[in-house]
Amino acid sequence: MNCSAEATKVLMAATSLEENQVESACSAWIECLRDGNEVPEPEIARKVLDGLRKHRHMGPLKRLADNLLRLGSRGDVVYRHYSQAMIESGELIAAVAILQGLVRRATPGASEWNEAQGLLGRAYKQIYIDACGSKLGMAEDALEAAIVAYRQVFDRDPTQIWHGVNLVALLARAERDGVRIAGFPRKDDLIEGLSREIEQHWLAGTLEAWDYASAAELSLAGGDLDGVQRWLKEYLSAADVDAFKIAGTLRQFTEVWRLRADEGEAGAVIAVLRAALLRNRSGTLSLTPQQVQRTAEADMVCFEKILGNTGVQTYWWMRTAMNRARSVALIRQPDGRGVGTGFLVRGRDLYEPFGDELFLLTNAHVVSDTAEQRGVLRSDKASVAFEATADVDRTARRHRLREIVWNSPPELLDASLLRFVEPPIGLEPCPVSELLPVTEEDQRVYVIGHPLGGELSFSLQDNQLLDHEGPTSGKPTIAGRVLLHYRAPTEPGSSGSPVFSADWDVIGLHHAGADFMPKLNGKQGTYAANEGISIRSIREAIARSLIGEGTESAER
Amino acid sequence: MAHVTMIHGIGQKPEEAALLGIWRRALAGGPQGTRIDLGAKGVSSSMVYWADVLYPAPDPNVAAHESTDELEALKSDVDHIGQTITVDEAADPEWLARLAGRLLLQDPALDEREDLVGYAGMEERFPLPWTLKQRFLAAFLRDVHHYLFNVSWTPRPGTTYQVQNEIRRRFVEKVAAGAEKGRPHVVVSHSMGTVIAYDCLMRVPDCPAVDALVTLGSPLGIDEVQDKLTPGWTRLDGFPSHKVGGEWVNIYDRLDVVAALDPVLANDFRRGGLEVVRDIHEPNNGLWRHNLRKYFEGQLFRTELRRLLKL
Repeated sequence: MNCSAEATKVLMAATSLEENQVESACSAWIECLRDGNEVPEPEIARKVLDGLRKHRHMGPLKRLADNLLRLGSRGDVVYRHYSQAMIESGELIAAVAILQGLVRRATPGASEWNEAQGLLGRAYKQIYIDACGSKLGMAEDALEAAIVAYRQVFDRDPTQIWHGVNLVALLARAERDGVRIAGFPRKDDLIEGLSREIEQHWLAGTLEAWDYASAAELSLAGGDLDGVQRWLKEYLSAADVDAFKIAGTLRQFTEVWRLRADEGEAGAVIAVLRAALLRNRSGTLSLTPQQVQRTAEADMVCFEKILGNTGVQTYWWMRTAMNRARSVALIRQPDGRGVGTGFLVRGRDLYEPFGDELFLLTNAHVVSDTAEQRGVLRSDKASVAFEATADVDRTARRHRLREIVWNSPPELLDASLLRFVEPPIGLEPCPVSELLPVTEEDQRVYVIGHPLGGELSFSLQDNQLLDHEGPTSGKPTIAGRVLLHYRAPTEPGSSGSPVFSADWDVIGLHHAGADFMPKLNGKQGTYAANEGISIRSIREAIARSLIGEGTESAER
Repeated sequence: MAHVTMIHGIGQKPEEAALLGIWRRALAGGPQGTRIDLGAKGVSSSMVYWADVLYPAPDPNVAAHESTDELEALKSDVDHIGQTITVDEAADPEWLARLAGRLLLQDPALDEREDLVGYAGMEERFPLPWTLKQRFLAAFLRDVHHYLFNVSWTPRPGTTYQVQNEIRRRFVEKVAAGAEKGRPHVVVSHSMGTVIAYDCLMRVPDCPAVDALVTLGSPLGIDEVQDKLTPGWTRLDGFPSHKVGGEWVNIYDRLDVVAALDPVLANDFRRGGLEVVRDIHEPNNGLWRHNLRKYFEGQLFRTELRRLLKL
């Protein structure tokens, strides 16, 4: 039995954003190999694993590598991909163990050995950073171990820019943290040598996206801000830059170099990278409340210098995004655990008689007082925190809710409109729009929420709008309910999150996600998608149910 | 939902999809509250693309066409103007000579009284270098001539168009497709595109009706252009009433080389003798005032467009 057709299907699926398709294709290939008693050709295995890595399907990559090893694949390349997928999913100890074996087996100086050392350095670097200054266990020696791993390669071959730049970055970090690393060359000499190497590649026209990022990092190490901005400009306009690469650069600048977005023009490169990541196809940004505030305060000049013609526009766009995030709240149950997301809306934007009073909108399956929705958090037990507003919200950080003024069950609009005991002061409500984006063009929608309700971090996701049931060609399956489908790059976000248009108006209320979501408008088949309820449906339903009692409701 | 049909002006342009993207992004730029992201607002948009009818190939330097750099923006508009036309080559040499004389020798913008220019006389006036103005207007002369006289033109080997027939066909096709998308349907035209839009809406019986017309930096006020829009155009009843159900808004910058000769249209395109075109003076900045991006950044223009689209 020849399974190369199945391998090709994996590569084709890898280019899609649908993780379930990738998983199915991987399973089919493994099944074919097993049934045919066939060990895959090393070259085919490498191509497939590279394809999964390139398109960031780390879950399937890990499982596929595991299965290939069990089937008898013994190529180092399989182990290397396996360990990289583990690093991506935070399984650092297992990754280190595999990489140490790989380093022992591979020939020093060979490309597989170089790659393994680089990944080993990366795993140790992450262990050091995650330790946040703790000296417990592996943390104390992790920085030196990372430096040693990168140096092993760079000492043999000083043309390895990636390893060299990481070496510089970690030596600078050690210096800043007061960690003594003995017997290493001077950082300035390393910078000079690497700069020459980059210059040569630049003249030869052989630099790739990663190299531009490395060059920017080198400029940062040398205190050359103009250089940082110039190289980042090249980096972000490079043909092969993608969300994965930008996320890696961002991680390096924030975690290793510890740049903060609000620290003048130098720190603003962080805000620019965040904006670039969010605007990139499949970009996901995870920010702490403090990072949201700092990003909103970033310097505009840096945007212009790095992004050129679109700099000012991107600056305003990102600033608006951060302002919207401030109006997104984490909803907690009495034990403090987060159960969902909600967002601030002005009453009149949903129902005129509500006037300027501020309300919280979330899913009915997150907060509800009706007897039918058992097990759901009751409004009098819920607390609401706008995490990114410590300096703006002059009221208590935890807001209590007085009542649910309007509710629609999960099987209909899945929405609860909540009245505060004491509404937050100094927060801008999210503007809402009844206009849904056109579906014929490549339109993006953005979801801001607290993923899984448990983390004190904001997840901002770039989603491709797949379809909606609104005008002009939509056909709602339930009268009065217009659904939106959009595809998130990762697992479904948090319930009750606002779904924004690219203009940062709320157009929907996120409520569900599935790997096999039936398509809209009578189209056959399913796809992996998230689902939101259009704000217009909610607005019209509120008007229908409250008309006649609206003023009473509004005056309570 | 609403639809915007756009039509560009003279000069070599990037390919259609890229140009449409540039126009959409130009409109979506600027601070929140002023920007109009058409797609996000549910407004579809399309471009009547005709650069390839007169120019051999699209301009590959897409970035220059949305540059905020003054010189780069100017270069993108004047660097690739193709062959110019001589009086002897013109279908009506006298007409061309008259128009050329007016365009190239008169510069009413520089004679403008200081207190009439810009807001409270504070606007700076930068004379456009003569060579650049000449290059641009030479291109304008050729393009407008070839269109108005329906010249047979071979932009590249193996392809020949009757210029007016082809561009009219494309305009009617795009407007018909736009009409299917929804209402209100607004035509936004720039420069020479305003001549094409007017010609089709006024003089092409098959052209579908639209709800509103917006002209930016238009040469429609020039007598020689109006002369060639007859039959159809008259000063007393030149408004395309049968095809424009709502308003015609004309935005101009007094120092725009194309619009400067006669920027006001209300007096030349009356409806039943009444002045109904809304002429709005919105000063652009810098040296090159004819630039589309600058018109698209105008707050008055954006306010008008929002209103016409009912956003």
